[in-house]
Amino acid sequence: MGQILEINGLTKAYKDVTSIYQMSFTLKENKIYGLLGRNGAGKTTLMHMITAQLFPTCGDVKVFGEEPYENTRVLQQICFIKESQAYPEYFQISDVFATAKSIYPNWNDGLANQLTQDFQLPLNRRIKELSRGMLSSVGIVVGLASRAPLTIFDEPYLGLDAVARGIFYDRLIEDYAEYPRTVILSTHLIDEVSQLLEHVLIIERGELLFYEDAESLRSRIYSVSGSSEVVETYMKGKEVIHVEKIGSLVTVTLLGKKEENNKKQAESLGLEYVPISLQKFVVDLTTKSREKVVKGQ
Amino acid sequence: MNHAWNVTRMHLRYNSIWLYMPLIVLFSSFFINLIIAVLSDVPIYTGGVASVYLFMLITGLLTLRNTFSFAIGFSFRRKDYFFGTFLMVAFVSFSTTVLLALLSYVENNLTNAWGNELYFFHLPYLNDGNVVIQACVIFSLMFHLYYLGFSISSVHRRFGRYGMMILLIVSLVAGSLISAIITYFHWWQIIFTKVIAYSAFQLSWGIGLLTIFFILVSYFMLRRATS
Amino acid sequence: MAQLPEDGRPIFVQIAEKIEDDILEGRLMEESQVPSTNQFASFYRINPATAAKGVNQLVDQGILYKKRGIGMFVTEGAQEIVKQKRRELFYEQYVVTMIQEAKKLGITIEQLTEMIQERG
Repeated sequence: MGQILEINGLTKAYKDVTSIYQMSFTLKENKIYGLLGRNGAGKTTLMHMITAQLFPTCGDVKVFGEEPYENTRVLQQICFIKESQAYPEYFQISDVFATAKSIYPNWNDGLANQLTQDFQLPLNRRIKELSRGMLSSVGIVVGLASRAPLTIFDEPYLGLDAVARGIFYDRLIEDYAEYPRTVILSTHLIDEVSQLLEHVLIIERGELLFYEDAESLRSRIYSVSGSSEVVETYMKGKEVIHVEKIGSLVTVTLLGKKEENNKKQAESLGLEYVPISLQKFVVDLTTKSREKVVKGQ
Repeated sequence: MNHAWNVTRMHLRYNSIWLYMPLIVLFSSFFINLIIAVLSDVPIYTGGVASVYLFMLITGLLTLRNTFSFAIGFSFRRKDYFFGTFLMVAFVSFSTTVLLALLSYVENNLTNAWGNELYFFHLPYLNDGNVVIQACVIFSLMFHLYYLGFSISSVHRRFGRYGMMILLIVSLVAGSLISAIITYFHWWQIIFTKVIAYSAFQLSWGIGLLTIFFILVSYFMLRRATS
Repeated sequence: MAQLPEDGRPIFVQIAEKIEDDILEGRLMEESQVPSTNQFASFYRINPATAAKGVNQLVDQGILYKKRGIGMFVTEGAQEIVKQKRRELFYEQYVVTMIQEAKKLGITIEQLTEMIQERG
């Protein structure tokens, strides 16, 4: 399968901060990727560089084998839906869709209409009169109906309730199954999307900490809890992500190796073994990273 | 380039602002003046037509704020945005020019200043010469003012508030220096008589050169601007 | 839409199990067509590739088979295969753990047998 995105030594430095540092990775065609990490980790900056809306300080980005900057062939195959998208003040929803239709060659009116109904969007209402949730729905309609070979959703559902988010997931899967494309999902609601993801990229402080098959990562992350001495014995030689103490009870989040049977080992010591969610893993991982920095100062 | 046209179409969705607003302002000004002209006996020379030029300047300043981030966010190239906007401005300037030149002709040649000595569309100096010459002056002025606004806001897009401050300071310093030099050498008189000696049509060529400079500035600013 | 539990086991394994349950309990008859992987994906809100992996596992085990251009069907004798597979699992999963837990609690094998007979 072809590579659709190639990032090499990508760095974005501002006067006082470096928001992306020496990042390199590739994405393959027609898969769903989760781009995870906390606010300020550099996700949005990265996505802006992929879509040539921001200029890298150094390193390069190739989408579909070419530089995206001022490249129509590449750009019209990328649809980037972001929470902070600005719209012209006097635009109606229908104007947004018409503009999207004019640029994205795979735009599908039928799907756009269906989604408009699903989200109950008033086509003639002005963008500035929409609620936060409706505005998010507009982005979702554009993101799905454009059927762009690279579709990027950056926190697409601010202000949307669980029902509307459910509609988004359902339509995404349905349409993706029929018209495969590469999707990058960046969100805080990891639990809701973790089963949609084929691969996971975890970013923290501008660096790529993890890039792994979602299933494989899920099988490696777990926590054990028990009394502190036993847990400490168990922890030796293992990759510990996070330690939490409540009285004499210690719970540690760990990253196991694939081939090990972590469960048996833990249970034989009388420890409680619990598989953890991707969301908890990301939270623990990024908390650890920030603590390290604080201690280091 | 096909997408440049799509940018023009995007601007056209704003038609109430781009097309109707300036006309509404212009004609309400005209009719108020006409009523005054009918009621009074003295000839009225009014600069009501300036509203159109002012509109071009303001629109030039606001276009980027309204549509640039959106267009870039929706996968348009900066180049297409630039040329699509250029097309839109050319279209608006051209159609307004035709209208103004026509009204100037009606005022001057057909209605004898609307029968009430109201000089609204045909002003001395600005509207000297035949209709084509007048059209050139109007068109170049509209284009010039639009791109004056557009280039200023493109510097803002490219370099942010900081860049704007520098631009402001540099133009202030340069302006004061030049006027100080002119004052020192007593050139004001010479320059003034020279400029007056040129017709509005001749001056429009100079303005045209300046406009090209603004257009180039904004092009290169936008090429490196971020959303 | 149904939610799969986050129990640390791969999602494709859970999907395969769901289909097996349907066959075992007669909701999916032998020689009948099973939903497409895309339908499974939508229903469980999972990645279609994961759903396909689960379905393919069952194909490999001879529980499902592909009819080209039509879809996926339950093999004749699939129920027996699933039953056999589950019986082996049953011993591992339930009997062994039950006896372990019983020992921890001081329940003798006799008491355990008694309990089972009472229930059954």
